[in-house]
Amino acid sequence: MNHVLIVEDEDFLIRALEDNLVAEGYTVDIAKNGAEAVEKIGKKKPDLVLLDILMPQKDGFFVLEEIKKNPEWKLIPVIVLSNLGEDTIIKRALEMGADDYFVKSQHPIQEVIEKVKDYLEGRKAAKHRP
Amino acid sequence: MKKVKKTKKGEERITKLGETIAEQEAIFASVGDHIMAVVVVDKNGKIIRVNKAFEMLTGWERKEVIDKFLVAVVPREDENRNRVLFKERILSRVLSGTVLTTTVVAGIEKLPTFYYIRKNKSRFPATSVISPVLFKGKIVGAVEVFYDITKEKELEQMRMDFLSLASHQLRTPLSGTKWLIETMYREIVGKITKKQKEYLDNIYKINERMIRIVSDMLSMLRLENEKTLIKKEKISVSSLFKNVLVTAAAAAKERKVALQCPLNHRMLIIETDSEILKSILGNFLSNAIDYSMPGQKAILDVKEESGAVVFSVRDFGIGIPKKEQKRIFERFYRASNAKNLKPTGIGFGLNIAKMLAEKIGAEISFKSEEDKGSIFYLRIPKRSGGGVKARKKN
Repeated sequence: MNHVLIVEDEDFLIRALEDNLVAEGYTVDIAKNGAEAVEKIGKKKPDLVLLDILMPQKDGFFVLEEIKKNPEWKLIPVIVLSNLGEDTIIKRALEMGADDYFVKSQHPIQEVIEKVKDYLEGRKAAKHRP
Repeated sequence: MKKVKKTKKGEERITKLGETIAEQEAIFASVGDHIMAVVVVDKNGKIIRVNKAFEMLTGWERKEVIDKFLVAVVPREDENRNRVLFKERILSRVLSGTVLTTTVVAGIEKLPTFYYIRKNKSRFPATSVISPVLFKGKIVGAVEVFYDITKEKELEQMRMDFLSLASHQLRTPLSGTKWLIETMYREIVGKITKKQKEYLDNIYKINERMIRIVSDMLSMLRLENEKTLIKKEKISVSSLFKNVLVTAAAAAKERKVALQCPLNHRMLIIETDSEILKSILGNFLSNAIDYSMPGQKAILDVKEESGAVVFSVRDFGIGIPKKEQKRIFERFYRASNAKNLKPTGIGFGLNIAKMLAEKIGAEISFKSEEDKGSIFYLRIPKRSGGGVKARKKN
């Protein structure tokens, strides 16, 4: 069973993501800030990470950096889900190794779930760029 | 006796002339108080006069700069810290007569901003106006007036940061509402009744409207930021049209407006910023749908003209009253009949489309007649700086 780590500080977004992922048959773990995310990846390596950027304490860029510099973690697909839509932020995340970037309010949740399925079920994923 | 008298008069006149010159020097030195630096150069660009504000802003003393080249004394840099070469500086174009005054180039409302380097090598953001000094019809020099806009830049940055943060904070709850309703629609957390679905549909629509408003606000902020990067990418008109039509399909279906798209010129490839192009055409199409009546059609088309590619969106709807036509690109302005038909709009769309068109070196124009419909054109020059290169796909 594929395992997804949701890194997000807003409870209502966690709930929506979790319910949809569980309905697809995935197991889910939650981290509410960057430091907690890194700790959880260390304990149980996820098959995919859904990553918010703006979070208390350590942000999403910190998590991305930690994932990509660790040889055991760097191949974990990371989908950034953020409401920051500035070109510079998106470019930075993609250059740091994020696989996809969604501006949350601009996309139905089903689109995100389909993208997760693309990665986890080996379907050819056309990279999403905002 | 007579001779002595003449000399005395002569002395008086010289004294008076001296006083007049000194007075003029004093007036000139004080011009602009301590804010507006004024510098006068001769036809070669060498400094003749500077005021006190010039000394304060640049750190140079008057005696150090007289007869020196202004461009060497006060080097100019652009936003990215690149030195602006002499031939590219407006001063050289004013002195050569190719530009009459910088305000003609930039428009009074928006003067160019750049950075000047002080004597101690520090830099400050400035804006300036340069005008030629004409004597008997010939350019004999130029006057440059500039001032430090550090405070304005800081305020602008604060405004951008605030609006960006505010918009982000608005987007988060809106995306939460959107995703929670979509999750309920899937019925993975329980069945919903027909009546409940109707309620959810309404909440979803209200939320989508809010999302669109916030998104438009952010687009405007992005456009007002001079540093926005304009991409140049090859776009096939065929896939562009497909994308724009798919995006508009739901609204068209709801309003019962048929979308049409003739097949001519669809093999065209153009090179410009695809997101910007999509936004502009999407905006045209969304207006065409909103301001048509059920059963009518909207037509998206493209054609090649000499030196340009022209996109158009035509509708047969309510049109724009003639006396209101000149105002439709103003921010927040909405034509009276548009407000009646769709009270919820906020008048951002065409204002944004116009700003976007300017970013890619394109022009927007339109023809409209009340109760007969409108046609909006986007004309993109084939080889302008931010424009397109067009070719047929092989």
